[in-house]
Amino acid sequence: MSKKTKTVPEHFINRELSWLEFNDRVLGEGVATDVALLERMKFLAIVGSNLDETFMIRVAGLMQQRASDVRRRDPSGMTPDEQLQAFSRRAHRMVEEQSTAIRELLRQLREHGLIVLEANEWTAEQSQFLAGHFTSEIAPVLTPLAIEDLEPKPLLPGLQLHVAAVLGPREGNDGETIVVVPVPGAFSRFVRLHAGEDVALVRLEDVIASNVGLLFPSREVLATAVFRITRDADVAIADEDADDLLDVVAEAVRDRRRRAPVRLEISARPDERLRKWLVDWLRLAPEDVYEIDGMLDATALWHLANWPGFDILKEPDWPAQPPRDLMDQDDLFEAIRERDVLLVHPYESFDPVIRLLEQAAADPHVLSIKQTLYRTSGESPIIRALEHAGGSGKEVTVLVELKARFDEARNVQWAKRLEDAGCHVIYGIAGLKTHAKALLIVRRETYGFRRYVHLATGNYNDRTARLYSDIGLMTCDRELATDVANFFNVLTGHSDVVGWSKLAVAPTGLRRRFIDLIRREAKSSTPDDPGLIMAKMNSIEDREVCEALYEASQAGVKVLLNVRGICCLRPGVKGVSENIEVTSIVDRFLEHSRIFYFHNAGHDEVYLSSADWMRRNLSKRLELLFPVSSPKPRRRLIDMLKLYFADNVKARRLLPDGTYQRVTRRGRAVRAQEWLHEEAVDAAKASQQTHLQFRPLSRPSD
Amino acid sequence: MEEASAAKTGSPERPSDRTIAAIDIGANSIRMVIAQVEPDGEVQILERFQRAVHLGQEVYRQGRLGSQSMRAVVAILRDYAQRLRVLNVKRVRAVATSTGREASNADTLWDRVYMATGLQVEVIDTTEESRLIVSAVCKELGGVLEGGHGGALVADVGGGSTLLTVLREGRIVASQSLRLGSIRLHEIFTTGNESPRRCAELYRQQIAKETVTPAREMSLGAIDLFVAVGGDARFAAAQAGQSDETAGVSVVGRKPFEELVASCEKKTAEDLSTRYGISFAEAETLNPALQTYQILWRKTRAEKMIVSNVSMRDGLLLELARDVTGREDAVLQQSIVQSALSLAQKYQVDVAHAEMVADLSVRLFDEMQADHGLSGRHRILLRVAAILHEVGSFVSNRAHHKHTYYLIVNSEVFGLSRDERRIVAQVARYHRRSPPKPIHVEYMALPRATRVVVNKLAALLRVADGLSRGHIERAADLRMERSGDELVVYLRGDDLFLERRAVAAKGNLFEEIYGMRVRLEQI
Repeated sequence: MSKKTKTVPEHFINRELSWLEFNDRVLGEGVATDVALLERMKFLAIVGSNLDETFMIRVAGLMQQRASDVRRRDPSGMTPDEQLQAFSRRAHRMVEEQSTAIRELLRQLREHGLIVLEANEWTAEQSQFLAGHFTSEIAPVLTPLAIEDLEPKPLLPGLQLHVAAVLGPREGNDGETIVVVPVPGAFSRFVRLHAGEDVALVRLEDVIASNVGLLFPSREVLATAVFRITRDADVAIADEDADDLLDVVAEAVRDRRRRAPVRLEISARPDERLRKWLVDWLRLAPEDVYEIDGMLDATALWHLANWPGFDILKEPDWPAQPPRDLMDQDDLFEAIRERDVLLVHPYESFDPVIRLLEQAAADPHVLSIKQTLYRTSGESPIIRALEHAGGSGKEVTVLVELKARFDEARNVQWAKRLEDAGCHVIYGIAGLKTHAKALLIVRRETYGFRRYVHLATGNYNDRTARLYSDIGLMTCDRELATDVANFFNVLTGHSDVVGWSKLAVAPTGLRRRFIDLIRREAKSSTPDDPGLIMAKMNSIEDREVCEALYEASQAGVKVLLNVRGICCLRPGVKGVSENIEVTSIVDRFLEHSRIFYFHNAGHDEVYLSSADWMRRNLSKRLELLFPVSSPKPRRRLIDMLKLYFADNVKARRLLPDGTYQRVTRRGRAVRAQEWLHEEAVDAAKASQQTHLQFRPLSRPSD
Repeated sequence: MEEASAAKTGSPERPSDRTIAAIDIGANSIRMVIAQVEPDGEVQILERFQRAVHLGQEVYRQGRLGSQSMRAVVAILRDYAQRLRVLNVKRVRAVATSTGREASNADTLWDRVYMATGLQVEVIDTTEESRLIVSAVCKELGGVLEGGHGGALVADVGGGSTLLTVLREGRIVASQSLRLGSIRLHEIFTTGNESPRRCAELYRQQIAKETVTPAREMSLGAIDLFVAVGGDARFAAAQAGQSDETAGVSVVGRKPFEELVASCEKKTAEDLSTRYGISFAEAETLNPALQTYQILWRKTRAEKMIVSNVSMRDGLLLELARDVTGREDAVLQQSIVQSALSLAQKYQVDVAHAEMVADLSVRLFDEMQADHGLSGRHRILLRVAAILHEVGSFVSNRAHHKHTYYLIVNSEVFGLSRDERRIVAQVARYHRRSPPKPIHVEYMALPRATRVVVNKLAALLRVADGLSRGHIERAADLRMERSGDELVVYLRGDDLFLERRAVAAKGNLFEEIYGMRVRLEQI
């Protein structure tokens, strides 16, 4: 192995900028001409919600650092202020592109009869109708605020749209006044006009802005604008997603910055007095203000994307298929006893996971069920199955992760329901977020206990399982089962950490394990038989793992990384990372699986994990890494990884300068997600055919 | 479907019959393993538990357990007992080792544990501890242990003691325990002010002192296979070893090990803990343990250190599994017999005679199986008693059976626990003269069930001894037959005068216990 090169800031890409590049790839799908119009609408909406979240958490965290006068540089060598500047520059460009894309998309939709009218396009008749609608439906729930006169100033909620208006002076005396009207969230964002066969819509904020004068009959409306404030997420959850930023921030600063504004979005070309007043009041720097030419809060585009009808503008449905490993298997226990079952979601159905739980709940031989739950839905059939099991006297232990972002209230509700049903509910582990996805069923069988295990890269959430690409493994493997049983004993406080035979567990040993695997690859790599690492995950940010990969690259190991989101590793740097290639796939399903392959001198090893190569996953969470050792599923995963690296339709390559470029297409088009879908369909069809029986009928007897 | 197949084979077993658990109350932690015995007799681990509680610190310093530790132990075992109830585990062995042996107030603790959990904690002595470890190591390493010509040393450096066992050709030939342990060394020599270097020096001196005699007695110089057992050895393997895929163990070379020790002993516990990601408690005792392995290893000729993954708990599980399957471990039995024969030789017993009595005793044991209903384990105890029944003659021929008693009680027989040794001593003691009587204090000190065992076995030994008084040269020369209330023994030979007389003198106990007379017939 070549001598270790000391890493320097140039070897790393800034995390926030890398995230913006990911969002740019999402935006890229929003403008891709080969994608159906309403599907593109979804991507543009996601760009919006991604940015919202980033501002609330990451930008807010950096602002806290700046306010705390932290000058610590990130691995790429940037101070908080430098990061904020760079972020803002990139984000401004992105928001502009997003707005342009939305305008263009709305224009194209008109041709298909889905019309969103701008206020200046309203006919007199329409204006009149909307004024009536405003007076009868909207105005009664509005709360206009004479914001300049109020002391203390009201705290306008983050992410909500507001209409601001400058009112002319009252007869005779005082000057102009600014009023703010919050746009009620209870209404649909779009108001439908009756316009024949077409669907004609106007935006709620436009209706309010156009009619705000009706609220102040004696004043003249001089100008209006729509604006939206984004605030520092004032909840403890920010801890987890920005802990790397916040651990150096003084408590006092954190208190002061709580819910502080971090961004102002305002409709383009606002009245100067209005703009100045808002910026001063919110104490924002000019670069924190985003003027938007078009529609604010793009997340509302989801309404349009899902508008009933217009099927021609939507991507064809890719329904989940029955899993290949479970064709015609009614008894899941029997199926798992026969062989390890690999589930490739969302191409293959998530139902078997639910069925396994339901079967376990109903089976008198099942003694205990243990499961981790993170971000599941309250109406989830998983919860119902667990309730059922708890009620039947089995030992049911559920670790509920309440820190799952933005979901707390919902989580508490169903967790209580489980408790009422007799389940033993653990509300997380102090200081660590339980991100591992594990299910253990202990069943009494003829010759003793048998343990059925399900481990996965994605959450036990039947809804996201339709949208996220994830992998699950069902197995009876004894060593794995023992490890999982021990894992639950640790979670439930019955035991300290014991040694693992097959699992690696964060935060105690997962980083070390990954690094050991990478180093082993470097060690065993020879010119005749060079090492190969293929890995697919959501993000790479952990510095130690990056450094190990650089060392491996220098030792001649080929490193292929498919990283959907953040990638702080800089590929293709001479003498450092020349052998590392990074690609990223953004397509209709959210890439979410974490698959790791090591050539291991010909003894291929494949692992799945709940963890990304991020500091927070490896240091602050309970995560699992597990091997897939039975030959068929392992082979299948290797093929899948190869497929991801063969993608030349949706894949983009990370360049040494930190930007991404579409992979150049040679030969036939390969789109990994489409391929996987078709494969699943073919497997299902093939199975139907093999099981189709021709039963010759004999002559009817008289 | 499974129910149906179970019904067909006629063995609808309940899983709980095949579920076993071993609990080990050690110097640093309390661990539990729940396992199940597969139909093929293999032990499948189901769950492992470990909870830190630092009993060794208190016991090695103050000789007793503090009330807080006791509460912690009770709480942990109560939780474990709860886990056992969930899986309905009935066959459980809970054992305590050096801390249990040395804490003056341990009995109070065991009583509290029993009251709170129903678990009966056995305090096992070092011989039994080594036996358990070695049986697990033998199972794990199999043929590897037979490889060395000069013999294999199995070394387990624990918190309070170090257990050494020497095997040749797969058989145990010597075993010793040293009052040398990682926690003990740490507690005695570390006040917190010494530099790591100074500590290392102190440890080294003490280890060197404690290992001189055993090295000589066990001829460690000839050893060419060094097997290390214990968590600290596994640490060394993880840091400096390579895994041997075929044997499923790790192997550490001398040089990387020496380098590892040299680097570790320069570091403070804090450094070790952060550098290697181990707990502080583990870090504190790492150096004394590594140095003990190092010094022992240096005394041998072994090139490599084989690091075993097993522990005493695995030995316990093997033993519990034998209870389930009814199979005894042949290697272990041989080792026990070997150890008994060495002892017999040491006291200049006529080994040929002793072995014949042993064979005859066992023949009688098997013949009377239905009547005494004793286990395979008792069979081996009888054999050992027969081999050793005349060791007392070494002291004096007068009342030699009484000398036999105390010699056995105070000697180590590899593979036998203290309680088992006591049974053996009693059986051997009653091979002649008076049968057990209420005035015999040691006999009456035994629990009632044990007294019954002693009676049953001694009755057999006495008859066997009587039968061996005449002409027969091999146990195979006789045949037995049960006829009514008589056990007829057919012997070769013209004149059975001597035998008849001896059996008449010694058969009284047999008649009393089994309700049968022994009659000798010529073939």
